[in-house]
Amino acid sequence: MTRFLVVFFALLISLFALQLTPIGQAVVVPWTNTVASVSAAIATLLDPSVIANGAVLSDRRTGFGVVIMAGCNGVEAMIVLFAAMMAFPATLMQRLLGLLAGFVAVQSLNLVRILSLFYLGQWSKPVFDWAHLYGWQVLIMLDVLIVWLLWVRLLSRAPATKNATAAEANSDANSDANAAAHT
Amino acid sequence: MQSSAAEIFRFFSRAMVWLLVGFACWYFAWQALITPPVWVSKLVLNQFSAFTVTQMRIDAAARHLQVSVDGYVSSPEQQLGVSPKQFDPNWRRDTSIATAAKNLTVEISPLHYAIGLPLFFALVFAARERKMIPKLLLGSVVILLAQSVSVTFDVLQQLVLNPATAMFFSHSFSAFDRNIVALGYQLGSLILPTVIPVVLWVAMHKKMLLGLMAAGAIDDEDGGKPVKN
Repeated sequence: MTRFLVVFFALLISLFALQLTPIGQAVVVPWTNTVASVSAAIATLLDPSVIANGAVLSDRRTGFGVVIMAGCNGVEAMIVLFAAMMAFPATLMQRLLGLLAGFVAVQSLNLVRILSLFYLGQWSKPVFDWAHLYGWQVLIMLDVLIVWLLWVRLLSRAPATKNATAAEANSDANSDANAAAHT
Repeated sequence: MQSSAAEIFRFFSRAMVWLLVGFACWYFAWQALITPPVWVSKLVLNQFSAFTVTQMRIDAAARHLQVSVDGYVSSPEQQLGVSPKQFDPNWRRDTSIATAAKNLTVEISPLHYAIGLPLFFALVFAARERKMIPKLLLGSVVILLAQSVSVTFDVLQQLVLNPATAMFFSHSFSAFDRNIVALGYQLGSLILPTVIPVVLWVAMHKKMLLGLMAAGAIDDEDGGKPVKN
């Protein structure tokens, strides 16, 4: 567990800092614009007055608009999932498949978040603020946790990782036993 | 024994119910919950030599934290190492700047950083493992410390990076310091509030994790069908 936590936090902080640099922003900004365009494309299926301009999603009829900023583009959630999957013992293929499935799960829920906030904002500002600042933040992180737990469960089905995870479990059990012996 | 995938979804459903309960409690107890991080944050902020925190007041109506500081405006002599009087005998210090640096007030929304406790409590209750109370106590302490970090960096970024106040501290914080403040603020607002509770929960529920993995292996041997005792 110690190794997992060290690798997880090292990757998390490094990648988070990287995405704030000009190099990272060269990827994050176009991605954020894509998220806005996809959100607008989905919304226009039911509501033709919705348009996207860069990272701004707006309604031509009401004039209401939302800007998709850091924290709302799903990048942070993907960084957390990436760090958790890289820190856990698994093969490269298992990690790639996990990240692909995680990407679909996180970004799908993120689109639901953006669209729900877009319509909540037109209905009630306090409800929008509550959902934006508190509700959806927690739900996205729970989504990441569920994806990771399901991935960990699937890992145990693969023989290649059984030995690795068993070794990790034995190592943890031994360190726990040693700690108990010392106390 | 239930299939481990079904157990994960049952766990998630329980967590959602507990989350609603947690959010309701948090909504009413938010002032008490943010008071310890505000104390710690004041202690940390007062370690900076560029300013002194004179007041940290929770505005219950606006759900804001108002932070007042007295800045120490460095004189041209301190900045340049020479007195401007050497070049202009009639030079006089502009005292209006020093007055403006007195009682600078910034506002932050600390509630945003306090969502970790309801999330952590919901996850611990949903896991239904033994020794809940020590886990809840230890987790609360770590989460409150993480909140202190978030509050501290939010106040710092308001003082050091906000153009309205940054002019008073431009000589106290280097470009590198300002980058660290920016990174700390981003980490404190986007990552710490939700990641710390989840990581704590994972670290405290190793047994559940190993159980899921073992159940996954059993599911596999049984052709993926749920196994019942």
